Amino acid sequence: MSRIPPPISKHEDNGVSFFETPGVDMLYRTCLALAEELAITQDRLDTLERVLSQRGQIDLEEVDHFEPDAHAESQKHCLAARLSENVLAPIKALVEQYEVRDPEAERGRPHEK
Amino acid sequence: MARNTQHEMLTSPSSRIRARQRFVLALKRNGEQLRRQLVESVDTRFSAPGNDAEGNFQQAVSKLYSEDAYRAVCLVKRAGQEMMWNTIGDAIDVELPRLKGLLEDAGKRDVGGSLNLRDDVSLPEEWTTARVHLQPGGYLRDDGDQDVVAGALYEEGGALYSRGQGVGTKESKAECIIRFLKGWKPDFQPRRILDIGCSAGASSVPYAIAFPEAEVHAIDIGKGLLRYAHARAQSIGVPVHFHEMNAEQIDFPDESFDLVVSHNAMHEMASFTQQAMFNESFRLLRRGGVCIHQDLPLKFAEMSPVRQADIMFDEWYNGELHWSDYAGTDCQAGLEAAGFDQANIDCKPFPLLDETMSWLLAAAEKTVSDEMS
Repeated sequence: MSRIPPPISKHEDNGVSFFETPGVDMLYRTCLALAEELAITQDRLDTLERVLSQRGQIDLEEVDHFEPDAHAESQKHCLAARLSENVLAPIKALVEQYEVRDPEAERGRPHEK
Repeated sequence: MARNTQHEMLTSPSSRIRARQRFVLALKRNGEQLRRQLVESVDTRFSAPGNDAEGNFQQAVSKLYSEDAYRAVCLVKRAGQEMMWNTIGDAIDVELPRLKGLLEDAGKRDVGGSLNLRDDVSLPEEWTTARVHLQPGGYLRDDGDQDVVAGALYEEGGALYSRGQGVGTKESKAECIIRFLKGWKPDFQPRRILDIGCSAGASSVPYAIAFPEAEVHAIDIGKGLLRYAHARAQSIGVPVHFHEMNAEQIDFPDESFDLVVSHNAMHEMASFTQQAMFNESFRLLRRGGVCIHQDLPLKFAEMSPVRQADIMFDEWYNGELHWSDYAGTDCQAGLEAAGFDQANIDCKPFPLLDETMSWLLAAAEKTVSDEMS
């Protein structure tokens, strides 16, 4: 069989958007990135609980009512920021693509009609 | 020695990276299950009695890609592959100095293997830009004299990719060939063995273990793959001689091998390269020698149009250069054209030990009559 062209064309960088509206691809990718981050957290938490319970050092009640000090609070903010950046990375890429797009390409876009 | 054998060239990822890899593996497995489930459903409707669309490949492509669900599973497959390379790449980055150190030490180990790189191997133009399975930098990635990244990515990515596809890990490809060979020719004791397209060398090593009296040579076109393969084999302590050579024109004398093998190499070759490899197998074998070329049992002629349309994903969006070429080729005819007698050729699917799937084995023996014809 000779080389068959793909049903959905690839971008110049060899990437591909499977949906006609690239935003849908971005949304799926955002969800996957979020799920990856959640999986890492879940895994870490599971490890910690196992280690601490093996040592008899964990009290779930205490964990539920934990009050972070200023340093811990700052670190928690950093963690939240990193998660947010990862989840928003595909949208950030979309925004950056918009920033470098030729203004001529804007003509005829549905929302500007 | 199965795929998951431990050795020093493998990384020991942090718990964070391991968690990412576990997730990616789960994502790929679940995505693949959804994909198979959907394709089966579309196939059933598409091929239903009275459906005029039956039998047309282009119509099957249009049908599949008109479904949002199919586009979504395609996206998950593509994104899962990219996420896999990201997490493996991060694990390798951390340990790169150690891996380069192991390559440096490889030559000092008293094992007996060797690494023979050169700069005069002509390569197909397409390979300079190819990213098979989307591997970052491709098989020819070469970041300098100590670079082993292409091999590290190939081995670690290959293991995760196969597990995501549901391919069995209890028996390696080489072990499967060796089991086939021992059933086919129980007394066969090769003195010189050649592994064509050896990549990271994972399939070359089992021959040196199974046939300790034999001299094992392995060739590939990627310097980074070969450096890694050499360091890997030396760290395991098994002598293999790795050479930078093209399968189309192998720089060894006529009749200098008893066993010529390849593993998952045919589907990465253009049809004419595959034929050249069969021709070289015939030229390189001594009388009584055998070649066994292993690959996926992928035959367009045996698939429904929907299944054909589905597997083309790998050529269109997963970097496979010659997927459709391979799915349309006839290994039996190719081996006959190379000079092997029809009666001495055996091309068939051969089940893995755990029977999770079968590999296609294209095997042939070179006899006295072949040489005289």
